[in-house]
Amino acid sequence: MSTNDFDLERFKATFFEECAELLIDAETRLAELRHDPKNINAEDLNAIFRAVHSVKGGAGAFNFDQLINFSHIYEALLDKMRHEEIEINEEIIDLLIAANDILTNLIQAAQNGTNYSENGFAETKDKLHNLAFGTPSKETNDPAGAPPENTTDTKSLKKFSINFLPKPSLLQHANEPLLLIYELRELGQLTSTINTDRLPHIQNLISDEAYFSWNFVLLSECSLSDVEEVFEFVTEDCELNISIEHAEGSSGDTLYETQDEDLSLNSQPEKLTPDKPIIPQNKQTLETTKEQAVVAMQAPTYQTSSDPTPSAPPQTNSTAASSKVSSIRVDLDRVDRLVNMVGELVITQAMLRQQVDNLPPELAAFMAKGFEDLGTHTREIQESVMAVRMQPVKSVFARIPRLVRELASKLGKKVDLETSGEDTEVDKTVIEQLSDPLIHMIRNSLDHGIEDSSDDRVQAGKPETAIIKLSAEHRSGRIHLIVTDDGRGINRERVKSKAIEKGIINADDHLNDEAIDELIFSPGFSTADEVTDISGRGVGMDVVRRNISNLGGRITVQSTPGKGTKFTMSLPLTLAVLDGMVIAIGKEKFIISLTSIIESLRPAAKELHTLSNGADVVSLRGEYIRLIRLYELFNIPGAQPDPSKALVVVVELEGGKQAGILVDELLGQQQVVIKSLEENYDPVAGISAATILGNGMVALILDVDGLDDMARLITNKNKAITPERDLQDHSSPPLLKRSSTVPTKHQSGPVGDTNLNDENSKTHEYELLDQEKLDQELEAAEQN
Amino acid sequence: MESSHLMATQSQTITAPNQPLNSGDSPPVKTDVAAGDGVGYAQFITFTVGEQEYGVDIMSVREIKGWADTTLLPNTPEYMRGVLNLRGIIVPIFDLRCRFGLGETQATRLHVIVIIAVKERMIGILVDTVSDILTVPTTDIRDVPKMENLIEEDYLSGLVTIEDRMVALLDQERLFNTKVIEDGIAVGS
Amino acid sequence: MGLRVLTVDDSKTMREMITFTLEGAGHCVLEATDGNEALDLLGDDRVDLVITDVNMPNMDGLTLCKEIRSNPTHRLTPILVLTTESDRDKKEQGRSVGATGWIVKPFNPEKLLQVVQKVCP
Repeated sequence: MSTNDFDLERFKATFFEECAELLIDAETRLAELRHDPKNINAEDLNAIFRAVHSVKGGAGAFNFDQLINFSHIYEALLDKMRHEEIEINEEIIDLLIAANDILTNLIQAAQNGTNYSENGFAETKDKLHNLAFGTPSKETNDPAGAPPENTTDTKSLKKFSINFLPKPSLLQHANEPLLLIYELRELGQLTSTINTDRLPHIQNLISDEAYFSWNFVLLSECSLSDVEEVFEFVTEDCELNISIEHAEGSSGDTLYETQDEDLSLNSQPEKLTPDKPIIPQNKQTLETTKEQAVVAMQAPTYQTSSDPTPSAPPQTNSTAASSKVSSIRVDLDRVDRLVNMVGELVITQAMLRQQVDNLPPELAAFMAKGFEDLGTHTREIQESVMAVRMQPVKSVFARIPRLVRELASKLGKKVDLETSGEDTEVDKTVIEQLSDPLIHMIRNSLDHGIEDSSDDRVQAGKPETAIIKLSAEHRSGRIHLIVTDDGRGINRERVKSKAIEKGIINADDHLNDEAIDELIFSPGFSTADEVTDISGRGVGMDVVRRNISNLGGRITVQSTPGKGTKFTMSLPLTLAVLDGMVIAIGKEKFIISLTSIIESLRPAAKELHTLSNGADVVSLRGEYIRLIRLYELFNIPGAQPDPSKALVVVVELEGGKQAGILVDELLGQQQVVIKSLEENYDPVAGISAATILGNGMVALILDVDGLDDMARLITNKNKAITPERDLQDHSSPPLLKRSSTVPTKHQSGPVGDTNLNDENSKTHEYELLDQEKLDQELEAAEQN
Repeated sequence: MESSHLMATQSQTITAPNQPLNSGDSPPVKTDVAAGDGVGYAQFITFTVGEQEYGVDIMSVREIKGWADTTLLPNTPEYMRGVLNLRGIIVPIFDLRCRFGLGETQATRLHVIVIIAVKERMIGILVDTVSDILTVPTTDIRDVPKMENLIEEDYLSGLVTIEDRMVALLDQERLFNTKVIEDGIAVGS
Repeated sequence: MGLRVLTVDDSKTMREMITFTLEGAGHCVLEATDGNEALDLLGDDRVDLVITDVNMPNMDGLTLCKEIRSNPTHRLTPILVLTTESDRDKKEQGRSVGATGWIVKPFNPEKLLQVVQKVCP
């Protein structure tokens, strides 16, 4: 056994992977059953049964005792259900769901090498056991039919007399008497007598008929069950008679009584000593005997009917056969390599395409056509390769029902989950990143969104049971994940007072509803003391937003008091390629991700303002956004410094803020393959990654949030603001926010035309969050 | 590693001829070719920057190519000459002359980039010309003497004299050490 | 010379373990995930042994046994049924549809090879 432990170890990963898949499937089907218990689909039950069955099978191989034990009971109940021995009702399905959750936990425990002992475990197990076997589980240690214990025979030498008369069915089941004889011989010293009385004349020989019978005398220390085991498969297909007499001495000489010299299987007993008989040797030994000729004759006789050359396994059809398998498992590394190579192909193709323009016209026209086709094919290959990595979000969604159930019961809330769009596909890289934010959104909805008690809901005229909807859909080349609840909505008063308390906003700041809702994403809004057991784990929505934003995604919230809250998370479909805008500054080219670009414009001179601290702002339809002079940040010579002669690309920053990046020119949109800069170098501020353009040159992909930070720093530096006022430092107390002076500053400063009481423009007020920082800089500069 | 290097450089005296250099952070010193008398040999690619000849362990050299326009990385040290596309891999290029404080190389098509592997990374170093492949007994590799006018001594792992030429063996790990580069970024921004 | 074995199981873990064990012993293994796929794979090609699970989607192991036996080519191909049930019921059922023998789970590589040796010449 111990030699196999290592071998088995390597399959554990597969097992757990498979378990995860099986459980997801079971979970989904259970949800369907739960939905309509009156209309049970037999295949659902069968599939769940098979899932549990497979878990049990694997668990058995790896000796996960707890898991074996539980899955056995669970399986037994499912078996009864699918044979309609138990009436199916909601209660039972709830029990199954609970059982499934426990199974998930047990698998987790097995994976972690721990023992599972959650309260409720024993109770559920008892209930299952009761239904499955009619009794509560009382230490069912031997569920999977553990191998029978070794019979405690003393290791004395015994003499077995065995009469063996095969029936025709033995051969029809493809059993082979010769193999049984071989096996017997491995147990000890064997003498065999064959009875050929029933053998007809060759002309009357029927290939499937069994004509022989044997009398064996086996001298061995083994137990009766060992001998019986030899005949395990054929007990129904033969007449078998085994008797034992304990041998007196260890010498077996006297046992070799040759009953009929001609029919004795082996007249040389020393060749049958237990340490010798390995099959190939035996074959040789047997060939020297007369009986072997008979036995051997019999064997080919029936095999002739199926195949004249059974000894050579045909290899010819293995390829044809394997081609019928409908899916294969591929190492992700291989797919990644393919994605990279196709990326190279796209670039090479673009490079060649550019060269075509330099060819003589007659040649160019011909080549252009070719390149058009090549371009189409390349794009198709790229899409196909990307599609290989696409997976439905089902795997992520499948974890949610359980999460909702557990949280709901912990919080004492009644919640139903509705999901849709499980089959929506995204790249594997995105799938991996999806789970955490999604779980967080769901936790948030359950904890903060749904009313604390059903009474509150009933009073508000809503059904007792709350509904959380989770959906996924493709929208304009991105995936949208939407979590909606029909709860109480965001309590804006509380959010606002908390934000004031945390110093995120000023007490007299006028924020519109959307801006208040946005506050929940502010850094430092949810802090450790606030975090509950449920939505907690010390991660605030700000972290969720930052993580999503790092993936090129966005998260937004919409809330209606008393009606509910809706979180929308949008992410790119892949993290391997990016739709970018190529921009030029001086002689340099950069890429800005299209998803962060809102618009580009050439501002009029009157729309440009400089704060007293040197920070440039552009007024954009009444709001002020920071102007990022990229040529300054990156020291690029030859750039157009005058925004009214250049272009401003307005980008959305983390948290919904905006900034304008000053560029000379927009060169066009392009899908680019994302290349890591950090593979061979270090992170560079303001740069998120690199790519390779059609001309083979490297172009840098801008990190707009990083640029915003740099711009802010530079402004501070330029104006020699003392370090303790470093505005990057969120922990510094908001000393500068002398609320009474802020409106005055606004009036005197260039941003003064921002009317704080303007109630018409929501986005306008919303911008104040950023404005606040500008104000701080302004004040800080003046104080120096 | 650090300390053994210091020991080597602080020894001030040139090591006895038969004693092989035993500096922990000098990977170029390898016994690639074992001679009959048990003396190990090491091979170097040598190249010039101005008048001076330098060498790197041949095993670390991946490719030698002519200078091509690079894409500049913002706010990096002066000697960091940007990045290059090497068959789909983004490789940073360092100006060796500049690294030694002798000013930026006015790179032309005739200048050469030596692509070398430094630990897991691939970098390129910009030099004037590639001159030779050098096979020397490891016993001929001398310690770097401490000298006032030799500013690059910290980045050398040894010296070899071939006829009347002196070849300085580069310690590329120290030369393009991340920490140094990070410091450079900090200064730049 | 190794045997040509077809293993049929909806559990990937089980398939992998069986394949690994048999290939380790020098046999050539074909894999199928259910009865239908097994029959498709098999066609009229001869294999030396079929090892099948009982509970599988689309076509279960017992039906598979019947189907295999009904094809004259495979009439005498040994079929081993993998079963966690050690009770007589399943074995008897297997036998009645033409199975040669059974392997009682939990999976154990040594046992598997032992049983294979028991039914394959």
